[in-house]
Amino acid sequence: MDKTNADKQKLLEKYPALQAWLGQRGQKRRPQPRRWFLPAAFLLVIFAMCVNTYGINIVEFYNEIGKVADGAEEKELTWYEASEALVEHWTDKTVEEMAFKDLLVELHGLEMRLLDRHFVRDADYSYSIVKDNHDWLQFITFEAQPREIVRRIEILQDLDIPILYVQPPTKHIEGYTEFPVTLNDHSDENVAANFALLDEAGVPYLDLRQAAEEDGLDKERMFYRTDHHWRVETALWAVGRTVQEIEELFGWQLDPDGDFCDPANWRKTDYGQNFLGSQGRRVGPYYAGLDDFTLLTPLFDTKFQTELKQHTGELKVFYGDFVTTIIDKTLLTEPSVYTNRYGAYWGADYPTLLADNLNNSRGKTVLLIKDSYGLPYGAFLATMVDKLYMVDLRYYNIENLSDYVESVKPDLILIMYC
Amino acid sequence: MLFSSVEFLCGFLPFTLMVYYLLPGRRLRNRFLLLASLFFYAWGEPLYVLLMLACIAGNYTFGLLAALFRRQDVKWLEKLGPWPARLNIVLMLAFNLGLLGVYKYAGFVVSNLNQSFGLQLEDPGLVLPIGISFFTFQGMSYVLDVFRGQAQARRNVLDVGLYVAFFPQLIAGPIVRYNTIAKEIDGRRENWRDFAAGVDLFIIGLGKKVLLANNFALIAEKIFDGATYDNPLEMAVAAAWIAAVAYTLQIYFDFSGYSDMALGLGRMFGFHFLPNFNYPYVARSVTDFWRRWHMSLSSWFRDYVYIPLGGNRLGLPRQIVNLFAVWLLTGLWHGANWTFVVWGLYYFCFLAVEKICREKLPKLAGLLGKIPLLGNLVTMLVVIIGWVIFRSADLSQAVQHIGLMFGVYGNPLTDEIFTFQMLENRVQLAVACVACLPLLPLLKRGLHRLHVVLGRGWVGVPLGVLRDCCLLLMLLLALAALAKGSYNPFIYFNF
Repeated sequence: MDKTNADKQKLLEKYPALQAWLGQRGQKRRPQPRRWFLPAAFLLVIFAMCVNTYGINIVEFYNEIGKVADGAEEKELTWYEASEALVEHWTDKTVEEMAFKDLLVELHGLEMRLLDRHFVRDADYSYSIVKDNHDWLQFITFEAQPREIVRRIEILQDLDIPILYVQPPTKHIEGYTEFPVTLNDHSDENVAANFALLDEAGVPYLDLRQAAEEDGLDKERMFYRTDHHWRVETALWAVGRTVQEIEELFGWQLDPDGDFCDPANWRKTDYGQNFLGSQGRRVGPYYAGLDDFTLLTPLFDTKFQTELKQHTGELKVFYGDFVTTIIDKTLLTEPSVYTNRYGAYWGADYPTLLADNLNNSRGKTVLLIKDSYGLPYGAFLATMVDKLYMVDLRYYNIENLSDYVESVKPDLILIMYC
Repeated sequence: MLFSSVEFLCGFLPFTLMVYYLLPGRRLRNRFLLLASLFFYAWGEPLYVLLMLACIAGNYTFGLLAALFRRQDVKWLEKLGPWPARLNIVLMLAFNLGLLGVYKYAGFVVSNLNQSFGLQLEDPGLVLPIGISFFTFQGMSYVLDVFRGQAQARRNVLDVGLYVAFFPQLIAGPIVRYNTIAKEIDGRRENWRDFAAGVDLFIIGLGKKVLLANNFALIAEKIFDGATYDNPLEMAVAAAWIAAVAYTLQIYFDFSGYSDMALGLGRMFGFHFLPNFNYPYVARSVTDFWRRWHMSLSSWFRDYVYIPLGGNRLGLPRQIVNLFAVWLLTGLWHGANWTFVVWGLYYFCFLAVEKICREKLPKLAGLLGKIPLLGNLVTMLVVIIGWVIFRSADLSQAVQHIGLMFGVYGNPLTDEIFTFQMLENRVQLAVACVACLPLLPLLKRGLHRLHVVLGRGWVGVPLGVLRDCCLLLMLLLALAALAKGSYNPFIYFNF
């Protein structure tokens, strides 16, 4: 008699009523069925992940090996240093190309939401997500050195061209935003450090955080909940405040009648619950929810020629109205909420670009040194100047900046690179 | 390569499983497993894979010599007596412990010599090879088992290579004793039931590691590494406790999760390793705790150090001395830092006291043992404080943190950080506390009774489906956390 039967017999002897109730059923012994479901599901999952991660990206992974080999040769790495570099690249590429990544991130976000977590750690700590007291998603801003462009502002000062530094509002708003107690945000300290250097150098600056407070901007509507950028509407307001500041500082009237900066002169196209910003993409829509996106396009007549310098060095030229030359409609029509709607202005960040406003050939030439905050800001500003040059210092070597400035000869340099 | 990494789960594991099961014949499969294991190690340590190969070759040679010196049929060997065999063992120990000493302890020794004697010796600056403590111990186990006649020496170096380098247990254990799997290297039979059990274990381990341990790592790291408090002495008593408890849970789920994954992977390839953990946090004494925690290491030291030193056979004073030796070595095995030495000796003290109590005051020990939960609570207190010593960067931090846990600095009882961490992690803490209890075996026993009475179709099938669904969800949640690129440290990598 095997152990199961012996146990069964013992129990049935102990409880005769049970034996009576069960009748003959208790006596039957079925063979234990073989388990298929979990092992099969496990194999299915790991093989599906394998094929969809490596199988369909095999060329890219192969190229990665080539890249590392070239780099190793160039840097004269030893074989094991090259191996370490290859492993590092391969690992990063694997995580990047991981199959079903969006779905899995959404599942993780859902889990975090059900667990009511306010902090979702990322492998790169600086991209960890914090849910603040208004349920906005935030990155943590760490204590940082002032920006290089601020530390080396004399590069621009030596050119003897008026400069205005524009500090956009930070998503962590002093007195409004609260982080969980274990986390600290250093946005304000970093801005103060920038301002201290600008004061020292005698460069004027416009603090849009303070301006927003003065103008009583609705804090709830200043930023996307799921993106680290300001809303497009906030960017239009910021252009208005910049134009005022330019008039006060330099006496130039970029928008003499206030028409260009008047929201009433801009068409609003709403894309409700259609945008998952850069922060939301790290945790998925179940954790973050979705944002409404509003596209602002001018109701007045516009005519531009734009020249967008690609990362490859290729120049793309467009001619036509605001929508034809500045708006990338594909980023609005793409149904996936993961599409970066905010990038619809210009379509991407380019090392340099020129927007030549053909309706304002007697206006000013402005150079905007910018990061991604400058995308809608630059687009709106372009309607008020003759020529707007934009340089993105993330993709443009600061060492070549003064040569570039001299070549484009702007009347004003705006710096909005935070 | 971590088991809880995307490249392992999406690349290495499916590829290895597929090729392994497509290959015909045991020999070919073993050779492939060795190759895959070397690749697995080289992925993290491209240079030190050579060191591991040297370790394999060395122990293979010592194993052959140990077998040769055991032969009764060679006359010239008989004339030499037992000395060649003993010399071989001494050389083998010098070889393995030399590797460990150079790579793990050289920097520690140099810095202590410099501090103590004001010397200016240069730190060799060697990087610790991953898993060196595990593969050298396995190498020693192989030769010692052959020397003792408990196993046959392998004629083929590739077989020794597979035993030492087999990837599931290579970098973080369990320390598999050679005689545990000697027969399975040639004679194992893979089957679906083992494979299914392996999958269960692997998923449970992955879930423990990714869903629980990584989460507790965040709490422990935040408080222990001083990122939260400008002045650590302002830390509330409750916050100091939650950090200690979080680390206690992290190290258990991290290491037992990894061990479960190793056991599961072994089963998928037909190997049966012995379990490494048995619900250690329900132990009723410190002795009981060490019978349940990292069992492969405890039994290694018991069989290869404690018993050869005389074990329990030479009276209580000698037992205490033997115990001291074992726990000094256990502490050092965990790392080259005084915190580990003190941690080992800390356990020696409790184990010695328990031993003396059992021998000299059996009535008192029996009486105390009858008070419900007393043993469990005292043991947990000892264990938690032990982990604080283990986790701390140095002894002064350990003393300070223990002081904070008991409010000796006049620090507040509770603070916002404690409240936040409790609220933020309430579900994981609750799940972890339940997972530390042996509820699954209890449930299994209960179900077995129901199976017996009602027949499997009534209870077993629906519950089996439920269990499989839960495990599948656990797998998907773990993959989701990895896709997110969550924090994924691993403690026992460093040992």
